[in-house]
Amino acid sequence: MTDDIALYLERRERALREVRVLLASIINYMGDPTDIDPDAGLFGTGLGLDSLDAVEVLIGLEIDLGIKLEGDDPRRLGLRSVNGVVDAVMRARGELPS
Amino acid sequence: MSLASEVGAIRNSAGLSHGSHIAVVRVDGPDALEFLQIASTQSPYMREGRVRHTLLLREDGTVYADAFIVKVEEAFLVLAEGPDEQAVVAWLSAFKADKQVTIQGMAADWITLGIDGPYAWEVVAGLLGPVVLGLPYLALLRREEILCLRAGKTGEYGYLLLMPRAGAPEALTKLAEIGKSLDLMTVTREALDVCALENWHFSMRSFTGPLTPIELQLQWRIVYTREFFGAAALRARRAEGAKTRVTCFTSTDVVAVGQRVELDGIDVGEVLAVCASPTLGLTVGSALLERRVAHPHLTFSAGSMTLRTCTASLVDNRSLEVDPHKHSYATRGT
Repeated sequence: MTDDIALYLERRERALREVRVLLASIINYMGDPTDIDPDAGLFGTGLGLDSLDAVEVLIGLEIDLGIKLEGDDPRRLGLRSVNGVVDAVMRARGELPS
Repeated sequence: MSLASEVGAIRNSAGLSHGSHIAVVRVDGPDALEFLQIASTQSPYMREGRVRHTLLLREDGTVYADAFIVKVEEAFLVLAEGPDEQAVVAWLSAFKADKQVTIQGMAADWITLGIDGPYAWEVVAGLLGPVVLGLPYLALLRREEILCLRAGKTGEYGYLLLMPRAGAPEALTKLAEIGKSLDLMTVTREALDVCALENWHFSMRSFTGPLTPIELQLQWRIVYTREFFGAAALRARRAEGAKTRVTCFTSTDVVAVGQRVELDGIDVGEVLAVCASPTLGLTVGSALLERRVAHPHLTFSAGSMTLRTCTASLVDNRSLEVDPHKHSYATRGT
């Protein structure tokens, strides 16, 4: 595995951990946050977030992770799955491959 | 009709499918709730009108069926994909023991239709009335003898209609009439499977093999503190740490199920499911990869082919832009 890939995977795992903790707090998840699957959907099927939870995701990203996204509809910002949120975090940090 | 035109109908207008691939089983009796608590990964405890998306597991924790459970009055309906109706009845009956339940397949007397697409709600509202427009996801509507579940697996608006066989010809005639102005097209199960894979919805037909919800990324349907059939094996699998995870990918090449997947020349998994996506113009699939590399935005090889893992979902569904209270098929794009 190249150094670039190893670094990307390390950063991805870190961002995934942060996003899982954020989502677990929003949905009052009683289990272990590591059980939240990366490709689980956020809305409808999957974690079952509603429109109020969606706003909390945006607020949580800004307050907890220091990431402000332009716009107010998470689905239109590509935040449709856990990995979608991880992508947004990594993109804001300049860590997402082109 | 071509598969591409069927997928196009589901993505742009609406597709009508015959749900013969869905086993519908009625579970009734004083112990029905307790019985389904054991059979299903999700608790069936819910008020009437709700639908629960759950799994039926084997004793080793691998997935046996992808199921919706619906509460209708005092009974439950299990709508399962994977095994056929006879197999689901036999599988459920194995848990019966001394419990007071009746387990009955419904295919002899009932049929299931599916309506999927960004304007599916307009088709179903034509049949059942405007109350359909406000029906939430995973909810049930009863209109005379027709049961309507909002529960699609294509990323678009989706409804399942259960109705007595005797009334089906009249309903189908009416749906055909309603569908003329909505470009409603009859679609096959294959088209539904392509849409499911494009949107990263689990399908029993695409994800074959002895996999548990941990590898399949379906843990949102699991409550580890509940007791259900397969729970002990699943907890053990979780405790030992799963080694692999299903991950979605796209490719500009033609890739085959079973092909080995490599990263920098090292074998890290295999292709599980694949289809040509008419929506994206790419090959779309899923691969079972070693967990450490089961992440999006990586480039793998499969023989001489190249795969790129992706973040689900792959499709910008038109349904996200369509509001049943504001839009209509006739005024689309205006």
